[in-house]
This record gives sequence, structure tokens and C-alpha cells, in this order.
Amino acid sequence: MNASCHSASPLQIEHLTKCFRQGEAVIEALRNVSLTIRRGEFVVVMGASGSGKSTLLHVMAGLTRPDGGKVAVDGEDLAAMADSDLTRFRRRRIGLVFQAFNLIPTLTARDNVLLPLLADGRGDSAEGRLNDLLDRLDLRKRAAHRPDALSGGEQQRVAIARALIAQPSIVLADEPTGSLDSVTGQGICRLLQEMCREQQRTIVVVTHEPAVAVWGQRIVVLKDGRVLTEFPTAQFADVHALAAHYQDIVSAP
Amino acid sequence: MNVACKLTLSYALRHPARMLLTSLAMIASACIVVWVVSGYDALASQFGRQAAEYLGRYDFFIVPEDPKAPFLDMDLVASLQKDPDVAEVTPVTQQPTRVVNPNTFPDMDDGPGGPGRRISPLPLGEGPGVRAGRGQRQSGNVLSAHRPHPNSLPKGEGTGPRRGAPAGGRQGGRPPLRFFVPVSPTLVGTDAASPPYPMVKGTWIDPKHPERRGAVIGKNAAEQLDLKLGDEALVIFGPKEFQIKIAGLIEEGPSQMGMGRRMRPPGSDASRTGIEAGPASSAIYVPLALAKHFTRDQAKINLINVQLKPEAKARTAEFRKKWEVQIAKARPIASLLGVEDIKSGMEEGMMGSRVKQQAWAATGLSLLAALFIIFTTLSMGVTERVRQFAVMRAVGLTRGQVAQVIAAEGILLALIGWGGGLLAGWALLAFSASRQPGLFSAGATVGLGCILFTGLSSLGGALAGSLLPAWRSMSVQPLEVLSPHRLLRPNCFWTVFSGAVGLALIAVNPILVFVAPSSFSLDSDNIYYIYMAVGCTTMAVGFLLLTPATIVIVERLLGPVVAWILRFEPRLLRNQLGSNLWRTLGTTTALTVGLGLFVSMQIWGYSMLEPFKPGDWNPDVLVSLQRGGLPDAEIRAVQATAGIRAGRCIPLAVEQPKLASDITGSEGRQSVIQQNNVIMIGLDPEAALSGDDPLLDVKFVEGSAKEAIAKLKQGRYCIVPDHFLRATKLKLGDSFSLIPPNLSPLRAPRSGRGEGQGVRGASPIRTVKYTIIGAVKLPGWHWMTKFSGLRKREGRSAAMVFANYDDVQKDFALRQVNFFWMDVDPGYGAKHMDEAVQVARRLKDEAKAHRPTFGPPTEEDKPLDAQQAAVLLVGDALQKIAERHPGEKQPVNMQGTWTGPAIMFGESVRITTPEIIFDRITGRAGSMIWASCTLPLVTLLITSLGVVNTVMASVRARRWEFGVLRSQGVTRWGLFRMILAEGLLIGLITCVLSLGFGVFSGWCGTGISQYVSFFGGLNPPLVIPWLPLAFGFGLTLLLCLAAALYPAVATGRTEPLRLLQEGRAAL
Ligand SMILES: Nc1ncnc2c1ncn2[C@@H]1O[C@H](COP(=O)(O)OP(=O)(O)OP(=O)(O)O)[C@@H](O)[C@H]1O
Ligand SMILES: [Mg+2]
Repeated sequence: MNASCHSASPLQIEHLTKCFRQGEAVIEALRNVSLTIRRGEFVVVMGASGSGKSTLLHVMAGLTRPDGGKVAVDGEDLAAMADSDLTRFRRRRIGLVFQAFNLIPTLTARDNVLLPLLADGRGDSAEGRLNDLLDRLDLRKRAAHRPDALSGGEQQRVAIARALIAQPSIVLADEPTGSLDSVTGQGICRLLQEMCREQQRTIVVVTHEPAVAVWGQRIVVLKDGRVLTEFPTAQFADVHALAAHYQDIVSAP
Repeated sequence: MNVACKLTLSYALRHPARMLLTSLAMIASACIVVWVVSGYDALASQFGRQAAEYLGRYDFFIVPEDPKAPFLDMDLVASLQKDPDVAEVTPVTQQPTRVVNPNTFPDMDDGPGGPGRRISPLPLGEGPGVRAGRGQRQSGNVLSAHRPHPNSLPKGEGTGPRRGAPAGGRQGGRPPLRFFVPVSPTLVGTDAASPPYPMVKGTWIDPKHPERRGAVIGKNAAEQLDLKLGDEALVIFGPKEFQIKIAGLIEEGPSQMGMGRRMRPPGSDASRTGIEAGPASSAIYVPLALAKHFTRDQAKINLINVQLKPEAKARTAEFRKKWEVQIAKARPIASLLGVEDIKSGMEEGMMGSRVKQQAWAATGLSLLAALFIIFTTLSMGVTERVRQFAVMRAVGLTRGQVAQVIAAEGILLALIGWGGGLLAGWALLAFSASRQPGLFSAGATVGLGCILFTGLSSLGGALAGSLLPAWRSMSVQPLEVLSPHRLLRPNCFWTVFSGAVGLALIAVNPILVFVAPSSFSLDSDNIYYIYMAVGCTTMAVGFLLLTPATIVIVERLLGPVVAWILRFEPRLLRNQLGSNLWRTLGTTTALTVGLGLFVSMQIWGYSMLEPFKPGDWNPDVLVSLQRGGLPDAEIRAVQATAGIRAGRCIPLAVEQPKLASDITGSEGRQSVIQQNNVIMIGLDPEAALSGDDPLLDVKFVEGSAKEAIAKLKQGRYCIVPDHFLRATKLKLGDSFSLIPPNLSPLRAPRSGRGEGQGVRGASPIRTVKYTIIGAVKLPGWHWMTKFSGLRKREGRSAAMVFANYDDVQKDFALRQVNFFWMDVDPGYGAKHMDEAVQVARRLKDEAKAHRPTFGPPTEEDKPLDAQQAAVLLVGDALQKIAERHPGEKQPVNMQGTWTGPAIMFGESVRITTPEIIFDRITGRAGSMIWASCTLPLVTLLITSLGVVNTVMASVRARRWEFGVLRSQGVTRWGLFRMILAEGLLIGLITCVLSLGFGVFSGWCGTGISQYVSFFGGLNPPLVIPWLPLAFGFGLTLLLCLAAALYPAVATGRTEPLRLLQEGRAAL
């Protein structure tokens, strides 16, 4: 990472708005969202279904452009970038994990992991890192398999490996445990947390499961496209306490 | 609404672009059928009218049926006359004859010299067939136009005289030399009171006054002969000439183009004459008594015209029933022909015609195209909707209902194709009819047959195409709702297995064609039918089975290359096509239908051309003197001509006699040709064949040059081409007999059926016998003889046979020297280049005034080479020698007078070189091959619409994937290239498959040609014409790239998020 990365906050969001137009109807998915995330922080975004969590993540990843406001990753304004720059930026700085169907069905697990590097034309430059990652995620034996031969948990581990292979500064995950059982989900969360600690990566995870949320350091709650509140997780003794607090917040009028 | 329909409609509306494209492809393929079938209908619809015209004012013809007794029982006339329904019964005699206009000095070389002309320079009326001319539409059955068979219609020439230039001669100034150019209308003796066809001018003959010698002639014949009302003409019958006076001109009945042998009712044996014995269309009518006088009472009645009373016209069916049996009982056997017989005869004649074959081919091709288009579309639909089907099954739809969805989609597309194709085809017909009014003379209509045909190809294709997808949709399990992606990856075992079975099936055809016939001695007709039924099918199925393996292999091998060319990571492309095997299979197969046929036609065409190319055995120059000829004393003068290599110029004694017996089996064959004669070439064996570098550099397959020279000198021995031995099953030491043509003009038996009219046995036919002493390879001899004048009597020949000069000269009573073979000295040409250029200029100037075309050396932009210069100088010198000996025109076949494929020096000297022939045939054949490639190319175009569809579906199915790729940092430009690469790979797979298919089927095609007599004995090698193939491949790749372009651009432009979201929804 170069100097500018360290000086700037890895993720800075200011007055973000995003609308979806469907015919006459305009859906305001995000309204004036502002958020600053520190380096190495593990942030959890929570909220009811339709509150705009995924949309926020997509905007942060540069998958779509906001209608207003500013998103800066490592100090660079995404809105100012042309598509090709944005793509390259995403390839190098952002790791993405989705809920399901994350992987390219025709590629082996190994090639799926290498995807960002392949896209960058440096597919063979990361043998060592790849093997490390596969070992860490216990995927060594499954590397030659295609996604349809992998279990959901394995698929998600592959997706995490892919998100990390290019050593991005931020990892964004949208309900990474959404289609997994709770034990596997916990494993995934632990992995994410460990990676984040070891490599000083910034992580943003979208979820509505308190069991996932406890792994984070800070929780941001969205409601109807607005940041309702945010609070650190350290204050809660266990998942149940956190779940109860979250319930109180979202069900308040 | 039915669930299936609802789902189908909603899906169709959901993907309008795909619907549009698939519909377009279906419409286009149906449109081909409409176009071709309507063209066919338009032609066939003329038959009724033509049949009626052919009958003229009569209702029935009675013709002899027994070729051995080609005349009719006169009692029939008497009993017919008694029938109260009959208004008129006219017995007619039709005899071959020659008619000349004594006042015309004909000039053969005037006019365009097209194939349609009917002037016969032969004294026999055995003239050059027009059958090989470009005016011919028939591929088979067209017999010699001028065969004076008493019973035969002048088949296959009808359009000729009308199209051809009038053969009127130049009259001014020249003395009325008796160089007759006989035209051969049929002499019709009749006592009918009124003409059979409408009169054009003058009056009908007066049967009561034969002594007035009045005659009525067909207007086209009159035009050709330049005869006018009141003119005198000569009718030549045997050695005698009779004067007649033209009293009237009459319309000619329509020619019976299609009335070949196949016209005969099914089940009849090969010798039956059938309708071929109807009235002649080109005729000269005289009173019956006069005809009898001309023919010295040899003329028997061989046609009875029957006209019914007006009130009985409605009862023709009854009349026919009443008389049919009676007429069949008559001795000799006769048959009754009405308008329906003639019409169905014409239709049958067309069955085998190219038009009909084209209609079938088009229907077949578009059926295949429709099949694959629908198959691909539906397959894609199934793959895309596996989860959807799973949900449907989960909520309680039965397998049948799921399959219905697919079937309904197929039928919907078929109906759109049918309706749209009919509309589009109709519009196309209307448009082209308005642009080119002559195109469909009877008006092109979209008839019932056409509608049915189109429906057949659309619906048939749809049903066949939806079978597999429907089956696959039925096999979707409800649980698949939970599985992320149902991948149809190639099952390694099945791919290899089907590939192996495919290879085995492909091997069947070559074995059938090349191995089986010799090891099981099948007869040639059977080989052909087995080839068509078994060989072609196994080959097609074999390639289909081989396709999955080809896809996987090509993708593995060429995928990285394509990725490298388009500069992206090859792993991103890996398995894309193989993983969606069904889709890829459908698309590549569809494309292969067009491209594969294109390739095989090109390969077959150029391979078949190879043996026609004049081989190295030819001496440099063949000289033919078409007028007069040289006395033996002048041979030395010719040999001493500057520019001819010393000792390499020999005179040839040439004749084209008929074979005394049908050893080539040409009678039984349905072939364009009757290989019933050979071209005898008498030469000095020592001068032609001896030495290290003989003038006639032939390769002996059997026997040896040394032995042959010795035997030939002994007399009555000959050398034949190797294929002649195969065709006749003769061996070295066997002999065969020939009939010298000039010696017994009318008694020479005619070819094919009908041995003259009972003259056989009147006097024994003199024959000469030659014994085979050697067999040589003579590639390209057909064409060397075609335009050079070596074919003196017939359009085609079974072989070129070499014998001793003196034998041939004596046996065939040749008095002068008319042919030379020689090698020229290019050194002389180089030295006298300026003079040669002068000669070339002169020839070109002459050609301007006098002749339309000329060989390549006069092209001013192309400088003469030394060889050409030498040829020109030698020709010029020979012209001077020839002009010292003017004389009569020599017999020659029609093509032997065409000016394009040879160089004429003055009126007489005609020079043919292998080079000119080569240029000529490659140019001609090239355009023919390309013409036959139109349909495959159009099919390729249509099926390439399917590629757009496939790539679009592939892209749509992978939108989520592309979304992921984009989210992982693949640029839109990268995505664009990836999608293009997919199209390109589809194209490449198609090219590989088509090349394989084309090579194999082309190769087997050349093999099977051995058993079809036209090509008999050619033994063509396999030639792969890379240049045209490169065009086809390039076109395919371009089409595939173009097809991928829109999906590529569209996907590249889409925002990553939308790809992700839509992709998810598409599941
Ligand atoms: N492409 C789109 N077009 C129209 N509306 C959209 C689109 N994407 C999202 N929305 C709307 O934006 C709002 C926020 O959607 P988003 O996917 O961000 O919610 P979410 O918080 O992730 O919900 P969930 O927890 O169910 O995933 C929703 O009301 C959704 O309907
Ligand atoms: Mg969401």
C-alpha cells in the first residue's frame, strides 16, 4: 500500500443518495447516507429487508453509480472515475463476497479464486499467496473442483479467497452467510475476522443476523435508506444482548 | 388459457429479441422453400397448356409402342372412323429427312455460334447434338437432336432454334455453291384436310394434288433455312433429292423438353417408346402420297391423329376407356395418348430434372435449418429455465405439462415461420416478377403445394427440433430448485463414446464406395442406391455424433489461440462452449449444414474437374483443318514449318465411328451421354510413341510402348484409355468392331433404341475390327476432343483410340489429311515475338469483324509468352499452306466450331492447345460450381441468425456470471472480447466440422461418380480448392463474429449491478 492509502481513510461516504426508477415509480434506496470507516475496521451493516443494505454495498464497490453524494475509497472519488479505471480499481482494491452463486460455474475453484488476477493478466504471479489462502481456508484438496461439486460453505470459502487474493484494502460481503447453516456461517465469520486482523484489511459485512453481527466492531443500522444509528459491539456481552438491542432499535417507531 | 401456452407466451414476450431472431431465421428458411417450390410450380403449371398446344386441334394420338415394329395397324384407322364420336382420323407417316435451301450459301461461323443452332454440317443428319449446350435445362435424357429416328420427337432441342440466331446465310455475291447446310425437320406425310397447328402464312397442303409438290414447313425451321413462301427447297432422302415448294408456314408444336425416357409410365420396360413417338414439333408437311413417293414406299403409318366431334369432346374419358384396350390389342402394339398422358409425361420428365431436385434440396435444407434453429432455441430455453422448470415441477405440474411448454414454443415458432415465410416468399416473388418479367413466364404463384411444402419443412423441423429439449425439460427434477446451476458439462465418457461411434459411421461410406464394389462385385446402379441410402445417412449421423468431441477438442486447442489473439486470459474462455454443449451442438450443426455442403460441393466439383484438365500427355498443339484438307504430299511442308520442333509433327487420320455392339453398356444407362462411339486416331506409332520423350507422352497402364509400336505397325491393333477397358470389361488381346460412317449412311444403326426403320438386315453392315494391344492414361481427353474438331460425328464419345495411320485412313476412307499433332519451339517464338504480336493483332481484328471471341494470346494487356508466340506463328504459316487447298467443309461436332476454345486461322486452320482448354474449362466449371453453391451459402446466412441467438442466450444465461466478472474487475472491453471470442470459436468449430464433412463427402462423391456413366472412367483425385474454401470459412467466421457483435456490445455496455441483478432474476 502506498502512502496516500495510509493517510486517507479507506472508505469515506458523504451524503449518498441512490434512486431506482421503475416506470413512474421512483424508489429511493439510499437517502443522504454518510459513513466513515477506519483502516482495519470490521463494520457490520444491518437493517430490515429492503432498507438499502445491498445497495449501499454496491455503491461502495463501484458496481453502480450514486445519484448524489460522494464515495471515496482510499481517498479516491469513485464518481470521478471512468468505467475502466473503476473496474481496475475494483480489481485491485476491493474484494467482494455475495450471498450465493458467487462463482463462475465453468471455472475450477482455483481459477475462481484467481479470477481478479486473471482479469488483471497476472494470473500466475500469485502462486504462493494462492496456496497460502487455500491452505488457510482448507480448500487445498478441492482446488481442482468446479463450484457445482462444492458445498455451500466451501463455495463461500472460495469466494472469500477470491476476495482476498488481490490483497484489496477493503473486503465487502453481502450476506456471506445467508445461505449457510449457523455453524458454517460462524466459521466464515471467524475467517473474515482473522483475515482482517492479520492483514489489516477493512471489512464491511451486510447482514441481518445478530450472530454474524457480533463478529464486527461497529454496527451501522439502516432503515428506509437512512442511517438510523450506529454503535460498537464491544458493549454487548453476547449475541442475545446484541439481538435484543437491535430489535429495540428497528422496532421503535 | 392452458398453462403451457401461458408460460410459452410470457416467456416469448419476456425475450422479444430472441423471438424476433428465431422467427426471422424460421421465416427466411421457409422463404427459400417458397421461392424454389413456386419456381417449380410455375414451370409445371405450363405443362397443361403445353400439352394442349402439343395436341393441336386433335384430342388423341395413337403411337406405336413396340420399337421393333415402329408402325401402326391400318385396321385401327378403319375401325376408329366408324366410331360415331370421331370427327377425324388421320394416319400420318413421320420420317427423318434433311431439307436444304439450295439458294443459300451458309456460313457456319456467322452468328454467335450458340448451342441452340440446329445447322448440321454433317451429310448424315447425324449432326452435332445440341444437348451439351448451355441452353439445356435437362440434366439427363436429352438425346441427340437430329437423330432421324422415325419415332422420336426432336427432344431436347425445342428452345434451341427459337433462341438461336437465324441461320440465314449471306447471299450476296457468292455463287450458289451446293454446300448444303441441312436442317432436319421431320418429314410428315398426312392427308389431313386442315393443319394440326395454326397456319402462320400461306395455305395448308392439298392432299389431293401431291403432284404439285406443295409443302408446309414449321416457321422456325423455315427461319433457319431462310425459306419463304413460294421458295423451292430440297428434301433429301437417302441418295435422292426431291424438290418441293413451300406453300405455307405453320406454328410448331411446343417442344417436349422434359420428355425423356423417364416419361414412360412407371413399370414400363426400357425399350418402350411411349410418348416419345408423338408428333414432331419441327416438321415439314407434305401429302401422304408424296411422302410415300419420296421414301419409295418405305414410309409406314406411325402416327394416327384423332379428333373428336365437338359434342363428344366432353366425353374424352369415355372414349379413352372404350378404345384403350382395343388399341393395346392391335398388332403391332400401339398406345393412346391424350392431354393427360402428355402432361403427366412432361411432369414425369421433370421429376429427375434439376428444377425438381432443387426444389427437394431446398426443402430438405430449409427443413434441416429449421430443425437446428428450433433445436438451438429450445435447448437454450431449457438450459436457462432449469430452475424455473424445477419450481414448476415442485408446485405440481406434471412432466407432460413441462414438455408441453417446450412443444408449444416450437409450434409457435414453426407457425410464425410458416406464415411469415409464405408472406415473405410471396413478396419476394412479386418483387422479382416485377423486376424481371420474363422470370416466371406463367406467373409465379404460391400454390397449395408450396404452402404444404413450407408447412412441412417448418413444422417438421419444429417437431424434430423440440424432441430433445422437451425430453430434457421433462427430466428436470423438482429438487434442482436448490442447486445453483445445472451445468451440462460434457460427460467425458459419452463424448468419447459418441465420437468413436461417429468415426465408425463415417468410415462406412468410403468403405461402401471404394472397397465394397470391388470386393462384392455389386452392379453400379445398386452401388449408387446403397450410397444414397446408407452411405450418406451414416456419414451425416457420424458427423453429428462426432460434433461433441470436435467442440471439446477445438475449444481446448483453439480457445487459447483465440484468447491470445483477442488478448485476454484464456482461462476465462475455457469450457464455455463445451459446458453448454447442447446449445453449441445445435448452432454448429446448423451452420455446418450450410458450410459443410458448400465445402463438399467445392471439393467434389474441383475434384471432378481434375480429370477433365488436359494432361501432360498432350502434344503442344492440335491442328485441325476444317475445310478441304491436305494431300499427303503437303505433309512434309507442314512438318518443315518454322516454329515446329524438328521431328515432332505427325499427321493424324481421324474418324468417329460407332461401336458395332453396345460394349460400353450405354443403352441401358440413364445418362446424358451415349458412349456408343469412339474417336479413332490413326498415327505413325514410331513417330508418336518412341523415344525417351515421345511426342504423345502417354503412360501405359497395361502393355508397353515398345510392344504397342511393333503391333500397331502390323495393323488393326489399337491402344485404348484405361477406363475404356474398365467400362467394357475388355482385356488386352480382345477386339471390338466399328462401323465406318461414310460407307453406309442410312444403314448405320442408330444409337440407343430403334435400329432404323427395319432396314437392318437389308444389307449387311460392314464393320472393321481392332485388337487392343495397350491401355494408357489419358486424363482430359474428353475436353481435348470436345472443341478441337476431333469429334466429327457425335457430341460425346466413349474413348480416344490410337491405331496405325494407314489402317484408319483405309478403313474409314479418309482421303486428305485434316489433323496434325505437333510440338512447337518456344525459342522460335521468343526470337520472332514481334511477328507473333502482328499475327495476334491480325487475328484480333478479324475476330472483331467476323468472330466473337478468341483465345487468350490476343489479350493485349497480357503479353504473349514464347510458347504462345510460337503457336501463333505456326498457325499463321499453316493457314498459308491450308489456303492452297480449299475445299468442302469437314464434318465436325457443334462445339468444334465454337470460336472461344480454339484459335481459328482463316476459314480452315483450327488450333487447340491444352492451355486454352485448361483456361476455358476451369473458368466454366468454376462458375458452375459456384452456382450450385448458392443454396448452401444462403442456408449458411440463415443459420447464422441462429448464432446471434445462441450467443445472446449464452450471454443472457451468464449475465450473473458476467456481473461477477465485472465485479471482480474485468473491464467492459474485456467482456466484449470474451463474447466475440465465443462467436469466433463457434465459427472455428463449424469450419473444422465442415472441412471434415466436405472432404469426406466430396471424396465419396468423386468415388460414386465412377458408377454414374457420365463420369465413368475419370478416376478423379481428391482436390481441395483452398481458395474458395477460404472464402467459405472466412464468411462463416465473419458471420459468427458479426453475430456475436450485438450481444457483446450490449453486455459490455451494461452496468455491472444490472448484470448481477438481472442474472439473478433470469434464474
Ligand atoms: N434494480 C433495482 N430496481 C428497482 N429497485 C431496486 C433495485 N435494486 C434495489 N431496489 C430497491 O431498493 C431498495 C433497497 O434494496 P436493497 O437490495 O438494497 O435492500 P436490502 O436491504 O439489501 O434488502 P435484503 O435484506 O432483502 O437484501 C428496495 O426497496 C429494492 O426494492
Ligand atoms: Mg440485500
